[in-house]
Amino acid sequence: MLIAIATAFVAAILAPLLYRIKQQLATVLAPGVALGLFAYFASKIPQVTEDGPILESHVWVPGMNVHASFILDGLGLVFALLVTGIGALIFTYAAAYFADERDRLGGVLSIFLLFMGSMLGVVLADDAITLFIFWELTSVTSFFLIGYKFYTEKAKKSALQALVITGAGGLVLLVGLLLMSHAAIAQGMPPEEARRISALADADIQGHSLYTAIFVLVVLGAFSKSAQMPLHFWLPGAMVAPTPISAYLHSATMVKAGTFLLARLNPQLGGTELWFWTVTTVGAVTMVVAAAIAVFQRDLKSVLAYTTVSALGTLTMLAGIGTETAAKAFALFLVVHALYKAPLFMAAGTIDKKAGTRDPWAIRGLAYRMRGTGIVIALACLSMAGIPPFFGFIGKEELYATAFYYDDLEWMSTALAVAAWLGAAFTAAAALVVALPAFSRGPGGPDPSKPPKEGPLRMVAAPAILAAAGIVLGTLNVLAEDLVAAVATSIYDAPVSVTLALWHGLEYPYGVMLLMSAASLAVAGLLYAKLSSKPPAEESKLGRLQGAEVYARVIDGIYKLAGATARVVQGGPLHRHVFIVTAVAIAAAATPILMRWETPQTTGTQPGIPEIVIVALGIASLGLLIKAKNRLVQTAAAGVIGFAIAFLFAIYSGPDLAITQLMVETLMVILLVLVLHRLPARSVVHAAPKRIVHGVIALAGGALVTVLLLLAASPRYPRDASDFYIAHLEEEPELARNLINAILENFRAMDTLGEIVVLAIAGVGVTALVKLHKLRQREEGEQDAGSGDDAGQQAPREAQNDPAARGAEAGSEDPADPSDPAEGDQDEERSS
Amino acid sequence: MTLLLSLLVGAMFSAAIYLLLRRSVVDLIFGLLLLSHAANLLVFTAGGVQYGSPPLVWHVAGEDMADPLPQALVLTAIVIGFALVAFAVVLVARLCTAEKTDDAEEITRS
Repeated sequence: MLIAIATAFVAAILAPLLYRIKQQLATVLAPGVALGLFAYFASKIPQVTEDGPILESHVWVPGMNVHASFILDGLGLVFALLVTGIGALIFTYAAAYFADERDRLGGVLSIFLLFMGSMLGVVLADDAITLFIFWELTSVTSFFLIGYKFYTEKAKKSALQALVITGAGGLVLLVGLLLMSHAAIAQGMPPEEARRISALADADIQGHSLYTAIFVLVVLGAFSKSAQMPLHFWLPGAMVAPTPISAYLHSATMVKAGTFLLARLNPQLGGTELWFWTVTTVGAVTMVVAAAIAVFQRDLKSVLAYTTVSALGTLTMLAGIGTETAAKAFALFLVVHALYKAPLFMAAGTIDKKAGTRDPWAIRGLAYRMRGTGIVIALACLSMAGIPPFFGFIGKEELYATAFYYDDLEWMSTALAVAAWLGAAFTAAAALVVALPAFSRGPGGPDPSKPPKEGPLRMVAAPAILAAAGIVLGTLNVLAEDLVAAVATSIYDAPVSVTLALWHGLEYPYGVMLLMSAASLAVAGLLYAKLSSKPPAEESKLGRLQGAEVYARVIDGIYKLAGATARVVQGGPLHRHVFIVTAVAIAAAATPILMRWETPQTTGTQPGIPEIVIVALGIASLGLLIKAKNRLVQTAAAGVIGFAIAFLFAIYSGPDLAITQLMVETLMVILLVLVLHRLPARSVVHAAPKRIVHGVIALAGGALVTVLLLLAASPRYPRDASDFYIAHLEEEPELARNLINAILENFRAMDTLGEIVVLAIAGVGVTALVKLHKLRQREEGEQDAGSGDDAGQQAPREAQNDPAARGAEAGSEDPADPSDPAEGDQDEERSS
Repeated sequence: MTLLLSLLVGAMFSAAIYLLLRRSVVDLIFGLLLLSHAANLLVFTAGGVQYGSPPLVWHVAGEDMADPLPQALVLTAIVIGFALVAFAVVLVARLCTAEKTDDAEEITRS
């Protein structure tokens, strides 16, 4: 299984490269890989349906108990088949769809393949962390796909909205999954078992005190991904993506991940009152409301998007009910929906391309011009409306059966039946809205002077295969029985046998179910007739339910809050930032010290006279540094402080530090002298009251540091790390006799490398600034006719890398030089 | 002697903060420089200071030897501090030349 996922990822890397070499190669590679993976998973069907799940595990991060474990059970298998099978067709379709945007097709195919790999990872993962990582990868890849038209404001917004909602849901899910294994470990399960989702079914998580928290977290993750109300709004927004992307992500695969998760975790978390009422209710409400909204949309893709939300609601509801029949219905409906929704999206994309509109009420008679697409729409919509002998009819029957066979609560059974009927009626009406105008003659068709042409073969054949599968599986439904049984077994966590049939006879409840089907079609017909005579307004209020508003306000509020904070904290001149940062830091550090005050113990012997003199000299220089206005005097004072520190290092057993400090301080003084002598003396100071406040803050900061240091230095802190170094050096004395050398070059060589990188970057920065300065000077020189010669002289001088010439030029150039010797000196110093 | 060093570090921090808060951006350089020195001395002191026992293997081995780890860290920090200040010096010099003033408030206004 890991190989299957890896294949997709490798293909994703290869696709854009191949595309550059020869476009044909990439457009064959992507569907080819998907088809190959489909065949691979299809070959596993007998094994899974007969022998049960296949497990696979690879060591990944053993120290953190993370394993790349995978499970191929009925549920995972059917998802894998959908992801790869529909993927193969959509990649084929996409190659034709993006024909006029050739330069971006390679990238799209690559992200498609990445997405397919991530999605396979989600449905096959058995390890909590593995699941999470692939889960978030699908969110990230879908961000890029939704934002395909990144140059439009709407696409950017929708992509970000989808990423925020599903990404945040993923994080919540991670916490839920980890809590699940925590709960299982608390109940005595070995830790390496407790990360495996399939193993968690044996634990009694429902009985653990954290169950409510786990439930809320996991369900929030699932609802956000599967666009359940009130988190559904990102899905219709995501329809700004080009149609192949909507068809793949937002009908067949990614959005199903949430319902997949609910089904996957049904054995682990399901069966409680909380699970039943929450999941079932949210699912049922989403199913009915979203289907009702769908009917009134004026955009084919919106109709399809809302019916998708509704279908996801159906699946969620079935996962919530969790009976044997519900598990069967879930498996059936999952396949049914994917088989009609993906071709409908593709057909909508073809219509959009060829007729230039997606308004279902503006394409009357289109099916007679685009016969292939017309047939696709007809087949898919018949399945969607649940008309026998299509597969959709079997799915709907099983949905009704779930309600009728729910026997825990009488009234709940009725309520579920009513909800299922309403959902079916609205979905059927939406199917009519999608299909019938294209087949009806009359005014309101596309411009007759430019009749739309049928799309290329690939754009018709790809959806046609899926739509045809709907009727094949409907009539030859025996073919699907084993797989559906395997899926239901995974969800129900006990063997389930499945017999599918179009005709069950007329006895209860099948007679009633047939009546309900007929009634729902009749209602759908009436609704359509009403809409046909008076199509809904362009801007339907129903479409913008609360969620999107709330989301927009929250995001807006975050930006406003950030802006206001930045204006207060970081507005104005530099010293205000410094003041706020310092004051906050002092307050934050002082509070815990003052709350648990203990007088620091001073340790060590009495200081000798030399140190006292040096410290006194240093403090006097500090005074001079603050007081002096002349920059050179200040430089001298700073130099004295630096050398004083070097002497202190030398006295207190730090010879290496002392030498380095001397070296660096010398360079620093030279640098400061070269640069600062050209700068003005201090021209302004703050007003007196402000100076006093600053002085108080500065003194408080200093006092705090003194106390902090005394507290830190008073107990002898553990020297484990140092002891480790010392012990190792005693074993291998040839490494180095100077411990500091050894630490820097052997044990902490990466630190030293980082240090060299910092030096190099600073050197580059200094050089760039100096060059910029010269460039300006030259430009000014060229503008000024008189100094034209001067500008000519500068260029060769810059080219010849003569330090003497550069030194003569003066101040601002030299900094680039000192940093190089400094580096060299350091290295010499340490290796000596 | 910890007390003595702690007082010096405290005084250096005070002076550094005061210089950073000044209106003149040139004083900012000296503030940064002092801050870097003070932080180095802080780490050095917090590691425990003693006379005449540098962390050299042939010198003294064992308990009495000065802790080499803080010294190694400070050694790195000294060099990085220099790089940082060197960059700041050139940046501020360019700023003052371009804006023709060292007043932070005037620079913000313009």
